[in-house]
Amino acid sequence: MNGLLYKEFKQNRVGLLVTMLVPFLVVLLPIVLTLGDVEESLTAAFVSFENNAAILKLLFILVTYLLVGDMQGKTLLGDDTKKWGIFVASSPSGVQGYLYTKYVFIFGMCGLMCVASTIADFLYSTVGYQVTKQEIGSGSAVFVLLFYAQLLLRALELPFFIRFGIKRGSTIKIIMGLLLVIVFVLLVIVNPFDIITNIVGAIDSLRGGDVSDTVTLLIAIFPFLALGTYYLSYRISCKWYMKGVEQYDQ
Amino acid sequence: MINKKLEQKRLGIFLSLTFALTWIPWIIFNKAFGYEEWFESGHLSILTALSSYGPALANILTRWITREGWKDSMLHLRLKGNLKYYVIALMMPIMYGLLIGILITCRYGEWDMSKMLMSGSWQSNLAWILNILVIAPLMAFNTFGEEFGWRAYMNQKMEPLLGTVGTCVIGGIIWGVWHAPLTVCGHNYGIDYPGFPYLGILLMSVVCIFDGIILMWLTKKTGSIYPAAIMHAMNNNGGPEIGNLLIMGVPENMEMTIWDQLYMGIPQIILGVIFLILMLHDKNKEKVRKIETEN
Repeated sequence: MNGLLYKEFKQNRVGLLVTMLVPFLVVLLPIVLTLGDVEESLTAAFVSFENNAAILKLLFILVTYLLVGDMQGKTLLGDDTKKWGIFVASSPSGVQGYLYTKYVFIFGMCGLMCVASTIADFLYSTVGYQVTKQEIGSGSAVFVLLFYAQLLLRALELPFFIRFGIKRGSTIKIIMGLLLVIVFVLLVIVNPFDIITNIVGAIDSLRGGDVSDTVTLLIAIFPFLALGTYYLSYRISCKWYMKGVEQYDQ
Repeated sequence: MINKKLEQKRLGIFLSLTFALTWIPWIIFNKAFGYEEWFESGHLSILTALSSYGPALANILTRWITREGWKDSMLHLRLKGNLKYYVIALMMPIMYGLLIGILITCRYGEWDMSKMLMSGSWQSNLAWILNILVIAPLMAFNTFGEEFGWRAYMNQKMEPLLGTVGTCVIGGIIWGVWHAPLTVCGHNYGIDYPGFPYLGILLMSVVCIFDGIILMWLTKKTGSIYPAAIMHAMNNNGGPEIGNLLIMGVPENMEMTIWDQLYMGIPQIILGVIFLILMLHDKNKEKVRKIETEN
């Protein structure tokens, strides 16, 4: 098992490095984005960024999570060959041990992203406060939610990657994504039972901090749902692995 | 057989480095920014987080200086067969939080569900508990620095030299005294109490002894540092506050004296003693097993 974990570290060292470093770009963001407009001082740059570009910061965080998330799924790249699959199946740790290592490693990558983001946020708020003497909002709660969202996404895509290989698995993922978009567009057009109006209303009340207790509870349950799905995904992957190996390239 | 002299030397280097690497920055920060500003306000959160990594850094440096290598680093997760200990790590602070809640109501309040301090619906209360359960483990990176030093190194070196009880007591006192630069500025107990700051440091040491026992038990049972880091994080991030659900009829603005704090530490002391007995029992079992295999 240790050997497999070592292999993961060795194989994905660039991904790990990127995961650790990318969140720190958020500290540089206000300086880079406002340097052209605000020439007076760094203080003005931070104040301007905090007051006008909070949504940009959130967008930046989401994009970094998506990019790094994509790398997490790709940790299977190179392992989706028939030779490797058969070797793993005949090794003492077996398919279960191999996939267990894979899932623990990806879980760790998600955790690393969350920790790196939180530390970067600490750095951002410390630098921001020292520069502006203004309270800088913390994004820790967002990072926790994003961590569990990442887990859920990985839980959904990994069995497909294992069953069909990365290439075909990615295609299936894209098709499913497109189907979701189509369903969403249809919902927007038809708007049955005022679903969209209700969703927009819920988002509005979330932004205003006026959240109903049921919504709060649903948000709190979400991480447990993600964890449960992740475990279920592992079990499904164990079942599908050998079927996938039969279809992998040499 | 262990080389006692070498282990003593390693322990000495570790402790000197730990105190130097944390006390010097803490004292500088206290002077430069003021305790409230750098530790409590969250304005300098990066300094607060990084400075708690002194014991971890000392562990790494001691291993490097004394050419010890990374044997028994306790950095493995060891999830297989140990998942229950991870759950215990999550639940333990909640458990003594609930016991504290009961004690407070018995002493200062009255049993009346309508007078619960925690207002709000059951949904919001349940959401609050679930949030603590999912956030605290992620905050374990904050407490990892301490655990990687105290439990993964100090305890391991101390136990062969001082025995299990000695490690719990002396290790706990060292851990408590290590907090002194913060305690003298009002950390945990404020500054307005008789015997300030010595009583605060003493009380912190008592708390650290009994908390340390549970953390040591978790570390020894799993051979991993993560359950201890999770429990510590749970402790620091609102785990015991779940016990507030059981506080009833206590005035919201009631000020707690340092003696009240000691009184509220009773559940931790009881649990600490129980886990010490468990640890000693395990040690005896191990001894018997060793003798049996030798024969």
